[in-house]
Parts: sequence; C-alpha cells; structure tokens
Amino acid sequence: MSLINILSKLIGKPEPTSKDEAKNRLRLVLLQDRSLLPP
Amino acid sequence: MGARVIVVTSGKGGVGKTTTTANLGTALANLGEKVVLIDADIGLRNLDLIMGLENRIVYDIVDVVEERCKLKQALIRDKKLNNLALLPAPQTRDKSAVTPEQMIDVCKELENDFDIILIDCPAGIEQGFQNATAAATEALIVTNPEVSSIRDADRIVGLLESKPNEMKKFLIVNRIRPEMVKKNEMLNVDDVQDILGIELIGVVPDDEEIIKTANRGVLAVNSENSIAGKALMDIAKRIRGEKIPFPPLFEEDNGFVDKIKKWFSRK
Repeated sequence: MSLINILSKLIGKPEPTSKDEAKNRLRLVLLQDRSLLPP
Repeated sequence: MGARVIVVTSGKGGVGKTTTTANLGTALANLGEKVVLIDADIGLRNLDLIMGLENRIVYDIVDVVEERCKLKQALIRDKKLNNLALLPAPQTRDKSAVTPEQMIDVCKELENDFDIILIDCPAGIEQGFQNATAAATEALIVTNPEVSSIRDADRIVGLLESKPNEMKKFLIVNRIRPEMVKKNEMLNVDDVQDILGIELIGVVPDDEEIIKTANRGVLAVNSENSIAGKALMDIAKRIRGEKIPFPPLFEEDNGFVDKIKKWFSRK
C-alpha cells in the first residue's frame, strides 16, 4: 500500500463497502416496490 | 389437533427451497415427528430427486385430485424412515392441474396420519404459489443474502400478509458465507432480518456437502461432515419449539493487530 493510499485512508471518508451498497439499494428498491402495490 | 401445515417458499428460484424442504422433513422425522412432504412444483418436480426417491414414483398429486388413485397409493415412504413420506408432483403437467381448493382437501386428508405437512412451493407468485400456500398456516421464507433474493422474499412476505388467513412467517437465511460477511462483502443476518422484518428461525452456511449429498440422493442432515446439515437440524428443532441458540457465524477479531488489519483492508 502506497503512502498516498495510507494518507487518504487517514484523511478521507471511507468508501462504502459492497454490503453497504446492497443495503442502500435494497432500501430504495423496496420502498419503490411497496409504493407500487395496491393497498 | 390437526397437523401443522408449513410451506417453504421464497419467490426467487434457486435459493434452496427444495433442499431445505427435504432436509427439514428428514430432520423432523429423525426427531420423531410423522412428516409428509408435498412437492407443489408441478411440472418441475425435484423433491423426489433430492430425497433419493425418484425411482419409486408410481402416482402423483394430480393422479390423486383427478381420482386415478387413492392418496395413500401416491405416498412414497422414505427408504430409512417409516414416519416420513413424499407426495410427488407430476413432471408432465402444469400448475393449473391442481387448484388451491384441491390442495386444501389433500392436506385435510393427510392431517389424519401426519404431525407435520411440509410443502415445497415453486418459484414465482402465480398459480403454483397460490396452490402451495392455500392450506398452510405457517411459512418458512428462504432467502440468500443477496439483493434479488431479498427483494423477491419481500414480495412474498407482502403476499402472505394479504391472505385472509393469518400465517406465521419465519425467515431462513440460506447459503451465507461467513468470510464474506466478515469482510463486509455480504449482507449479514441482521441486515436481512431488518429489511424483511420477520422472525429468524435459521441461518444455513454455504456448504459443499449440500451438493455432494444431493449428488448421491442422501440428505445433509444425515451427514456428520455438513455444517449446513447441522444448521438445518437446528431449524427443525426450533420448528418443534425447542430453544436452540444461534451459533456465531465466525469468531470476532478483537486484537489490536486484527483491528488495524481490518481497517486497512477496507475498500
């Protein structure tokens, strides 16, 4: 790992993990799915 | 008191419904319950194959509802367990060959001889799903910890909730990979449960033994080497009301060096 990578880890905001992305995408798509269903 | 009628469903295909049904049925029979498995996947039967009973089929559920045979003639006894039977589906008909009302009648008749009726639901939400869920009062919703499977499971939860009869719903998270969960590359059990909002009854790790046992027509719950088989046996015990704790998926890294490693391995 380069010094720049280490510094960016220390300073920057961490990128979301694939798990986080899955969770966020699911929340959105389920919200949309549920809103489309008839009452 | 009548038998418990439990449907194993998922919405999405390929998540492990049939394997779950076969193993839970065998596990429950091993625990002393009188169990009958119904393959409701008409036209795409596989429960017979997973149970290792594919060469014993003479009649099927459509023969029963069309009165070509008695229900007892269509039941296939397990090779080893006298208290386990299978009612197979035909391979050459479609889902419309059975109606929800006929499924209810079949289950009513089976209630006299069995403690638990376990129904293997086909994928999808059409006629096959309606048939499989018509008589059930409990549902085991099987999902894999990935987006499409969870989305479909959510749809199934909604459909079961819209049914007039109240149905108890339980979640099985199948094929979880602890190493991926540990690295935050797979949704964990809490995430899935949080999204679907139903009670968790089991977590089944991804396990090569499932494929190996299915190849041989034997069940993972009867294999000492199968971690999935152990998890499925735990689910069977929970179905019977036993309080079985959920084992941790992996050992937590608590050391300082582990924490530093984990921090630097983040993407």
